[in-house]
Parts: sequence; structure tokens; C-alpha cells
Amino acid sequence: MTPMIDIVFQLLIFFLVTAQMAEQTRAKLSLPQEEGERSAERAQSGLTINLLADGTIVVNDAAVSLDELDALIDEAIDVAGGADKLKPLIRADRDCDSARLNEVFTRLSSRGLPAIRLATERGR
Amino acid sequence: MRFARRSVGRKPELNLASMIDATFLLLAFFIFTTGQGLDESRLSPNLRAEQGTESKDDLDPQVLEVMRSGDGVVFRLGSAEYADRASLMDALEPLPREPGLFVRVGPGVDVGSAALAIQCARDVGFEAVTYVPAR
Repeated sequence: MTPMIDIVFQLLIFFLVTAQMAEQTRAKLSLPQEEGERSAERAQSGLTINLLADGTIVVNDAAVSLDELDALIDEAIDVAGGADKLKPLIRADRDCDSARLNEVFTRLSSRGLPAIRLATERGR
Repeated sequence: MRFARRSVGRKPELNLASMIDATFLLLAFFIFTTGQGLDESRLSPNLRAEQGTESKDDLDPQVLEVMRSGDGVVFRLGSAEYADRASLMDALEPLPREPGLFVRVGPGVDVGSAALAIQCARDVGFEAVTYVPAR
């Protein structure tokens, strides 16, 4: 009985910690209200970029500048094994100015990323 | 040296109560974690930096421009402008699908309108939708 309880607590702690880490990549914002694509894959993106309504860029729960974002993109490309293998997830607030979104996209495309994923929320 | 004799004919016991505890714990965890992401979906446009007017493609790209106009946002296709989802869908419907669609989003446009343009293109059946960030 005792080892079993040990394992259960181990699992509990593991899942609490991993859930907390997963939550850090998701900033709370109002995503565009669109249905999205039926075939859109839900695979791990490798890089999640949050764009708040005021244009602040948030990655891993920390506000970053465009230069810092450049470094993070390069790092993610290295980890993914090439720009063509990285398909970052952009979670942009629906009220954010597209000029800011364009700045981010320009930096991604200049590194040879062929596509991105734009997060939406269902509910229209 | 003496080793403990293995019990012959006894089946190993499995503590069912603990197993059920662990199972319910896992079940609760997956319900909570998957529930958080259920309302989120994705749009997956291609990405291309804005280039000059020269095009290497054999087919002329069809460009849908999303731009600010007065207090609102308009969707421009050729010389025609559309202000809402329904009229934009009607305008996109007769276009050929093969060349794909370039969605060029200008400054001053909210991200929601940019996403609307991509969604409309997907809904009418464009497989190749490319987001072109305007300079």
C-alpha cells in the first residue's frame, strides 16, 4: 500500500508541475473569434508567441523586445532542426494592431519560416 | 546462504483500491487539462515577406487587401471593397482556387479582421492562403 501511495503522490506532483509549465506559454487574451481550420494540427509548436492588445510580446510568461524575440526564434529554429520544421503558434489579441503582428511575421519570414499558426477561439 | 522460498501456487495480489485512486487522479487531470484548450482553434496561413512587383509564379496571385478606411476596416479585392463577412465570402466564392490567395494586411487593422479574412478564404475552399505583412 505504501509504495502505491508514493507513486500516486509522485504522479500528482509531476502533473501539477508540468501543467503549470504548460500554462506559462499561454497569456490570457481575447483571441480572434473564428472557427479555425478543421484540419489544423494540434501538434506542439515549439514556440508560442503571445501578442497582447497593447502590442506587448510575451514569450514564456515574460515580456520580450523584438531583438529578444529574434534570439528566441533563432533558438527555436536550432531546437527544431531547421526553419522549415518550425511552425510557431501566434496567440494575438483580436484588438491588437496588425502593424505589430506584421513586425513579428516579418521577422519570422526573414528567417525562412514557411508558415505559422494563428490561434483563434471558437464562439462566433 | 538461504533464499526465501518462492511461494508456489500463490497469485500476486494487486491492490485494487490504490489502482482506482491513481486512475481517477489521471482521469481528473486529463479532463482539466484538455478542457482548457478545447475552445482554441488554429488558422494556418503560409507566410511570405512583401517583395517587389516581380512575380516568379506562372499564375498571378490573387490579393485580398485588408485595410483601414475611416472608422472601420474594409476588404479590397481588385477595385471592389467589402465591409463584412457575408459580402467578402460572396466575392471570394467565384475566384479560381489554384493560384491561392494572398492576404495583405495593412497597419491600423485589428488582428480580428485579419483573422476574419483568412477564415473566409479557408471557408470558401482556398487551400493556399498566404499572409503578406504590409510594410
